[in-house]
Amino acid sequence: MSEHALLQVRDLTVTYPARGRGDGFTAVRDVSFDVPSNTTVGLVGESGSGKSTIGRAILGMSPISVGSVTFGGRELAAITSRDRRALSSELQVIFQDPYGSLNPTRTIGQTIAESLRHVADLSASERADRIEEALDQVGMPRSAAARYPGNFSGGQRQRIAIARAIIGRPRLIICDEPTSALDLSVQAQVLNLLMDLQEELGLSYLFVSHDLAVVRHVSDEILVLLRGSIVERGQSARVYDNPEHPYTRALLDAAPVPDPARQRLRRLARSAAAATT
Amino acid sequence: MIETTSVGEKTAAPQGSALQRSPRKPRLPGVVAVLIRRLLWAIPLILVVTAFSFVLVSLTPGDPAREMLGIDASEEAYLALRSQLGLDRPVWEQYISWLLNALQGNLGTSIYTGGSVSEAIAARMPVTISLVVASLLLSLIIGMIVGVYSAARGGWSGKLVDSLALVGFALPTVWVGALLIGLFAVRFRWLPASGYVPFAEDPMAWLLCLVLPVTALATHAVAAISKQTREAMLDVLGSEHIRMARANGVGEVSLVLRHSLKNAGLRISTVLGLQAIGLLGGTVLVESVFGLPGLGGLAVEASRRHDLPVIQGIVLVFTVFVVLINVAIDLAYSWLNPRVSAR
Amino acid sequence: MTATKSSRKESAAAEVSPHAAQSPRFLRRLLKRGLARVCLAYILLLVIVAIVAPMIWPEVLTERTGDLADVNQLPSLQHLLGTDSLGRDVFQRILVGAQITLIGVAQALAVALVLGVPLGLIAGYVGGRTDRVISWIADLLFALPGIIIILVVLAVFPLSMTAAMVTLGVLVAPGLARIVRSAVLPVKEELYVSAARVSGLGDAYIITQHVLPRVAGPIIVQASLISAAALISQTGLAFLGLIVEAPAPSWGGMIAEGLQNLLVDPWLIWPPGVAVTLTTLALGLLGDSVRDATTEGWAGSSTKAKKPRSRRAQEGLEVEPADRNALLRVEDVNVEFRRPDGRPVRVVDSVTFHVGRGETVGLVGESGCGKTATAMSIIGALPSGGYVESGRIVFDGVNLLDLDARIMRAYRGKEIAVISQEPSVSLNPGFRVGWQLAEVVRNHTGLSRRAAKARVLQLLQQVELRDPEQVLRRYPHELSGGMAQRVVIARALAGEPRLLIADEPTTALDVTIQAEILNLLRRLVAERGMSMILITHDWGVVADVCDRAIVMYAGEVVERGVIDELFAAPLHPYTKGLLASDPHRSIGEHRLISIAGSVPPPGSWPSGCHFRTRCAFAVEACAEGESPALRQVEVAHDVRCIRADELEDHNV
Ligand SMILES: Nc1ncnc2c1ncn2[C@@H]1O[C@H](COP(=O)(O)OP(=O)(O)OP(=O)(O)O)[C@@H](O)[C@H]1O
Ligand code: SF4
Ligand SMILES: [Mg+2]
Repeated sequence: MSEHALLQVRDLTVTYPARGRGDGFTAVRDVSFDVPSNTTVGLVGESGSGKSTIGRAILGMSPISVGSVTFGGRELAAITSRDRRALSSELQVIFQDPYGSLNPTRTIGQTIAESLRHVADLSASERADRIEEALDQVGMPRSAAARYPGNFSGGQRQRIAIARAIIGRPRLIICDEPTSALDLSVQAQVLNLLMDLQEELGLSYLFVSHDLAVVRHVSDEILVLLRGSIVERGQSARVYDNPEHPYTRALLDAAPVPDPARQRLRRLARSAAAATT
Repeated sequence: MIETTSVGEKTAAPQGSALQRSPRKPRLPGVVAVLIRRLLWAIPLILVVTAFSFVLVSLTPGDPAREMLGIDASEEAYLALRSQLGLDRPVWEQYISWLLNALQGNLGTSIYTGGSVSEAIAARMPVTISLVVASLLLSLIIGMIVGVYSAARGGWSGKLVDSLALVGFALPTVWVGALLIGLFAVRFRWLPASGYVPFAEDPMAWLLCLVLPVTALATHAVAAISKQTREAMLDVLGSEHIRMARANGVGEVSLVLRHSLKNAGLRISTVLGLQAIGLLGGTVLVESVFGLPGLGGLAVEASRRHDLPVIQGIVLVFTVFVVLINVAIDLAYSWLNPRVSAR
Repeated sequence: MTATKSSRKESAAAEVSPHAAQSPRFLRRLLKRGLARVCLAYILLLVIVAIVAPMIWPEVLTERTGDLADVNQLPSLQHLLGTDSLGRDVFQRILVGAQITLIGVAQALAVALVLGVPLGLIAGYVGGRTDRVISWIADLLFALPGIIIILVVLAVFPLSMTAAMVTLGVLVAPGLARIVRSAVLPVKEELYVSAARVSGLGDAYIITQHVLPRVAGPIIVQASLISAAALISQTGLAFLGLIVEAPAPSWGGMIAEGLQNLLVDPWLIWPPGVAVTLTTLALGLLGDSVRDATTEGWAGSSTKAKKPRSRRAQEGLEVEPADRNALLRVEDVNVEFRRPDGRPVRVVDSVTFHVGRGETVGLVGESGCGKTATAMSIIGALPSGGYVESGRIVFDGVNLLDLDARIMRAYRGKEIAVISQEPSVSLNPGFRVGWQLAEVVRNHTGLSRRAAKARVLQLLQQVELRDPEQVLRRYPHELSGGMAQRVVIARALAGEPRLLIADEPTTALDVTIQAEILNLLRRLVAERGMSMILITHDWGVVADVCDRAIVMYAGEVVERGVIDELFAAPLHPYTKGLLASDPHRSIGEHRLISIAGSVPPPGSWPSGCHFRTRCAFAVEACAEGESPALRQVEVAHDVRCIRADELEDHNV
């Protein structure tokens, strides 16, 4: 972990307050990691492992109970809402559900422009230029700005959500399962787009997903989460090819591979292993 | 209310008990908690409502003591009555003593008649309760049968229910009452146009004199309950779990009368609660139209005559009714929705 | 996960009817409805009358008697609605009376809106303690015996309609606040609101720009219902003579006068009664139209299954050489959905395949390609609005489409059973697991209760649930996703079916749970010699469980074959592309291969080959005529592409 990484998370613990009496629920416990600039860090885990909570805590949407989160040198744990607002163009988010993440009653142009409301004073024409530029960058026609989300498919909506995220020229985007609601062929389009934009704009991603193969594909480093704690971390190829932690291995073994012959062998190996233990 | 539970109960309980030795036991604390919560909530409600009307009433121009005595009473007699009525004390003191008296069943005396308010209310209570209970039962039975049938059968019966519900919703109670009187009392002379015969005196006459008022009162509730039942049933019948149960061989009768009815019961009991409160209010109109000596009529008279102690007493009684209705609905909820009692 | 999948479904359904979705502004949609236009016109007219009539006939407001020689007249040209018992013209009194009536309604409505909307918005949006306090107050007010409170107020402010109607407004405001609150709650959770917050937008902006427009529909609906209720209450109070002083005309007061004169002149109660009813009806219908306009699109009408008519088998549709005695043969099946406007849309287009005994067949493809529709048509459990337009579904020699409903029911669960993607929503939330399973068992077997319970326990053991005794007693919401799916599988096994249709049984589950469930399914199929249709879009699942696979695209079967061959040498450009875009298969490559564009929704499939618009190998011939025929290229390996032979060795 370096001193100057773009995002530094130290000993992050997130406890959701309990309803009524009780101790509350600790979703994330003592998590530390860095996201340097122009890199992608992948967070993998099953449902309830706390992977989305980490992203939400960085965005100020979940409480940081213990620990610190530093972004571009600024501490986020105790930031005022005004300072966070100033930060908003540098730190952005893409959600899982492309249908819920666009307001059906507002045009694409209005939605994308929201991220610019706190960016310096832009004239109306500069604003329109920025919208067109963002649409170009995500491969959507400029005419989309005047239309409503109802006219677009899931993949197109996810492109629009990406346009909203990049229009303020952010340094880090939290991608919370950005492709898990998409079809396979569209997932490939969106993953390619994210990687192209990274090259073009020098972005960093914190890429949250339950799918190790996807994370392996986009990330430089992978963190594996189990019940709120990191159980394994490392270069993505190393984690994927030579997992050290039994949980990582279990995750990899459980996901069936799309190759009948290999999958048959893996199944045999698994049942043999199960028989011996 | 009563009907909802009994329909489900009959079907659910025997099977449940075959499977589990003590099916109700784990949920008992839930039900008790619901009861306690609702009763605790009722206390501030009753305090706030009565205090509100008390304060409002005390702001009224005019002076009960003067009104009771007439203009030519002596100043001494006036002052004496004032202090006897407690009118020379601050409002909150008056309120507290009213409240303490009310707890012992004494609601003061009517300014207009000089009689006991509690007695007047007690005398008129049976009329109002007969009206409300009869209308509620009637609208529940008709509403549920119509709603369930039209949802399960679809087609023209659904459209018919929708249209009738709309008309039922739009007809003003007083007009329905007037029309009924015009038709059945004036034209055909089948039923009495007004008046009330206590049950104890002549059960048949009691029944006859209730027919028209109950019909007028229930029109709205029948419309609302059948429409809501139909909509709730349609929602449930279209849901994934019903489709899956059907695909795996659960019969249609069970799907409609057990599975769906219990799921729809939540919404039905919500409407039922609202309608019960609505019926309570509706008695004010119906009793006036049909000249029935009930609480609603009493309230209207008292309001016209500024008979404040009477109004105050009726407010208390109606509030208690509302609380009871809510308790009943809460109990229905906790039975119908396992998630409520689990919490 | 759950939310995503279902919202995806919704909008997929919305895409079927692009016209409804095109304009999110419902005013325009509302005005497209004839009924709404009529209601609005009526209300507008009434408002004009209420303003103008008192100006034309100011004397009506104060005249105590009219022409006493002319009392109790029936309608005539001179007195359009006749005269009352004091000789006054009823028509004039109705029109002038509209004023006081509408003023009362407006007062109540204004107070309700001013109080209810902001409180509801704040309670819903801010949440927490504020919400609790507001809800508590609302509960309290809501529980007041409304009309009695108004009577108290009227005792204090005699004959003041304003006091009465303002009180009414205050009393209904909590109800409105509650509805606004519950409309706000889901909007607040919407991701676009989170995204707006992340973009640093303030609460005031979010409430006015994002939340308010979304809850405007319910608010307008409530406003018309509140107006209707206020009108009814106003009528009642005027009837009692508590809010309008004698000579001034009001509709309620006129009903009271009519009632007094009922013996003499039964006509008099009609005009005011009809006036109130029509106006209430207009307000109520307007509310209904607004609601329909806001929820347009998903309001399904009831299903009218169309009698399937057989169609001659399409030319070139060589039925697979395979088993004449396959367990299930789906032949040339077309499935359609009726749109809200009544027009049919085809979602499954002459699908043909078979399932052998003991065989597991995968149905693969992207979302909206018609996999579920195909599977549900087999068991006759299409969602409402869906029906099999034509084709044959032959199960063990019997065409299921020819059976009448009663006989078909005997097949459900006993011969063919279904498990679906979302285990938690495929169990009834209102009943314990044990009860639901026992019901199905008894239905199929007629066992006694005791025996049924034993059988249920046995089934739960077979699906490898730990502690089945305890699971029996739970409600579905007390089960985890994996446990719920096992319960659902147990229910499907209860009738010992010969065919199991599993619609994405593991999509909602974590990979480790998925592996367990897949193992379980594979074991059950093997042990019982069951056949299975497994729907999925995960190639790994196909490779793991299936013997053969059928690839669907835009309602058609584009390729089918034994999995080893299908994975090793896919023939159709779509299959090739879909396999190549799987990140599990392209480890180490920088860019994934992707197929441009997305699946066209039903109703907008291109002419010729359905895949033409996305196909990298499309040539002019692909656009011509009907969709290419499905033809055999290798043994038991069929493909629907005119260039399949040339492309055989081509990789995407
Ligand atoms: N209830 C419905 N009303 C109208 N159209 C529907 C309905 N259900 C499904 N459709 C349409 O039918 C088409 C086929 O749907 P189907 O659910 O069979 O697809 P699928 O291949 O199973 O997709 P998924 O992978 O999302 O489950 C879809 O385009 C969908 O829009
Ligand atoms: S028929 Fe033409 S368009 Fe269709 S898949 Fe084959 S090559 Fe592509
Ligand atoms: Mg499906």
